[in-house]
Amino acid sequence: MTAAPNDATASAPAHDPAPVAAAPACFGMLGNPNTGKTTLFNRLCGIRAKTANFPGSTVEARIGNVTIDHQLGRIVDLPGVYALHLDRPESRVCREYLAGDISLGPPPEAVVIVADAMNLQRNLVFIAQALQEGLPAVVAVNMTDLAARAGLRIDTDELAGRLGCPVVSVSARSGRGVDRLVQAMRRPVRSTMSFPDPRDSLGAWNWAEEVYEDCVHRDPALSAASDALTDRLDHVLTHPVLGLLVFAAVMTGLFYTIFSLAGVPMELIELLLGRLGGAVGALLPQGALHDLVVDGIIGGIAGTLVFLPQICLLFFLISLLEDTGYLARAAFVLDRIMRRFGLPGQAFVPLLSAHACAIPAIMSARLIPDRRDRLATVLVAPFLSCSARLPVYVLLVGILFGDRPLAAGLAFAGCYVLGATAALLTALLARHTVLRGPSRPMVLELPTYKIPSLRTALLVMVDRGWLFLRKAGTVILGICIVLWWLSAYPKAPEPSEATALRDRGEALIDSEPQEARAMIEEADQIATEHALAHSFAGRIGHGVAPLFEPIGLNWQLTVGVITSFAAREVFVSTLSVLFAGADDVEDAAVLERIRSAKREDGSPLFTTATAASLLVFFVLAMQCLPTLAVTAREAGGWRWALLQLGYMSGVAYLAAFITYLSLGGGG
Amino acid sequence: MVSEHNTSILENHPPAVPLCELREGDCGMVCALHECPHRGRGGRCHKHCCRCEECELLRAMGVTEHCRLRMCRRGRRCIVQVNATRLGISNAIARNILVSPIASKP
Repeated sequence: MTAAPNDATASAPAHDPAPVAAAPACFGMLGNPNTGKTTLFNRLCGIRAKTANFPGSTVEARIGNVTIDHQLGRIVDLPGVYALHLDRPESRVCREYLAGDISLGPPPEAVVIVADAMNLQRNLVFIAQALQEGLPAVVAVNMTDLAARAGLRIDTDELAGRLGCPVVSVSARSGRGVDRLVQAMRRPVRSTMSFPDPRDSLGAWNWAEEVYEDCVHRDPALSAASDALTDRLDHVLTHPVLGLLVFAAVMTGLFYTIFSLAGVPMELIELLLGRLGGAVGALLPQGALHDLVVDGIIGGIAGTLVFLPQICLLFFLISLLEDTGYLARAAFVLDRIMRRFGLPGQAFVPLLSAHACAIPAIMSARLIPDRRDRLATVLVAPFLSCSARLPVYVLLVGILFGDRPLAAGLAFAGCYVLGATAALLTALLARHTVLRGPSRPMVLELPTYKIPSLRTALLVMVDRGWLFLRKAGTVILGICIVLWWLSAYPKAPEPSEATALRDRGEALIDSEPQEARAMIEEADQIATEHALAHSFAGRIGHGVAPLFEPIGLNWQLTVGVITSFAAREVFVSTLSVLFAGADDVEDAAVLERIRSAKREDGSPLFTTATAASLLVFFVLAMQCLPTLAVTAREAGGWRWALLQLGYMSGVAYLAAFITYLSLGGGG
Repeated sequence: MVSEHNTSILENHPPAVPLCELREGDCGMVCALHECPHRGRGGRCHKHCCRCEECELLRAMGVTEHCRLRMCRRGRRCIVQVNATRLGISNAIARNILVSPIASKP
């Protein structure tokens, strides 16, 4: 039987040596990378799947359920590997999972081996190796529709006979043949054929070539046309100059899309949770429980959820790009530049997306196959100026160069350049110290160009978004609650000065409403500043202030630095509360009050030296505990997160100190 | 599509050259994947070269001794095609793959 686009059938082996009596309860799904394995998994399991890490590693598998004979069967989508015997984490976990040495629930009773119809010869070598593991198997030859267009016809009957197990022709993208695959999964077969030793590569390849010649019929004209089109596209997309220009255009489009589309849902989330906070606040009596629920929990949830649209969009678009085959080409082009700093070409996408937010950037570093390269990328990503730093830059650059737009623009650009330079130099340093070891030279498969699957991208988006909410979200929320508690407690009685001012304002509210409102606002500011000064955060600020004195910060700025550990933009709202008694930082009057703030001795607080030092500090400092939580998760331990915190804080402090001294701050 | 993993072409083949020296569009047959010459204690490689680990990966991807490949893009990072697989390979690896140039099929 020959597989064609409209001919999706299951072929049984000519002799059926070892059929399985009942449908297996658990399948492992195996295959080379770029075989459409995940698309097929999504087609079988839909949105019901979840992602889990193998015990003791950062290698992931997707776990889902498929209905076979009215019963739910479990499928574990294993990472794509080129061979099971390689000394690589992905190969190791596949081997151990199939042997039952590591567990993700029940052990596999059978395997579904996914092969790429466009590249069947190489996949045959892997199939032979996988069948030698001894589990009952079904082979799904995927992308047969694309193969037919490229002039390839696959005889699945012949192939089933040669492999000794059922072979099904499928197109995971269109769903064609998936029903037949599910039927074939009822009776997977343990092959009894003899295969070449996988470590004898020459023998394995000669066997694969022989089977390929017997089972695949080629139309040379269509094959040549397909190669020529790939050649033409590669000529542009992997060109040292043109390739970079295309990459710049693609990335500009990617981030423009993220920024322009994420804004609306982000505002909506803030609005809805603001209203929820108001509604819940109205139901609860004033007091500790009210503050905890409204400011701590709902405020913390808002702070977490607000990242979600950017994360979802980023992963959706990256999935689309990856599916087209372009992302591998981009990594190829950028490898030349990134290698100079000890990073692989694949690191560029995470580093670029760190300009939106370091959290999705660190999560997307999973695309990098080498552990050291991945860790280096995770460690340096927070140096790049994320969108949360923008309000801080706007405030401090405004203080420094408020009346000189050109200088302000250059200072702004300088912040981005400083962050990127620090990231690249740190990567270089890390690769020569804590992550010392040979760089893995580039060997990168450039997959076939394809039209991306919207369904797969949506499922990836949902999966990544959920993963972010489930794991990082709980940590982020906890951190927000702790920081809220530190800045809200213990409650201090309102100072008499504020009470008197408020009383006078309330007395005048009917006769002179404008002046009365101003008096009440001033009373609020005094009360808020007093409350913050006496809170745990304020006390810590006073206690830690001597440490920050050498870079020009007083206790109030120190409190700002401490509270901004929740998120950098909190620094601006903290200063607004401390110096202006309001958190509307877009109000020109509030900005003016911050700019003209005084130290306790009456001298101006924001001198050029202080503002520049603070700006440099915020460009380089790791002022984001949620990012640390994600680093700990992705790097596989808190020691990496603590190293990141210590190193970035040290670099930021030193650079701020040098800046402060060189601008005359010390004298 | 470039195909064939056979030994027949080995007879009367021209002298082997590093893969990175193959001209764009030309085909070659892999004669050898050099094992790492820089392995120190514990079998670790201390140079950026085609390590044994990389050799194993290349073989799994289809770059085996006696396979035929085509140079699609030449440079410090080259693109080669083996069967239906296109691989981006750095110079550090390409110079350790010895190929025997062969005439391109029409």
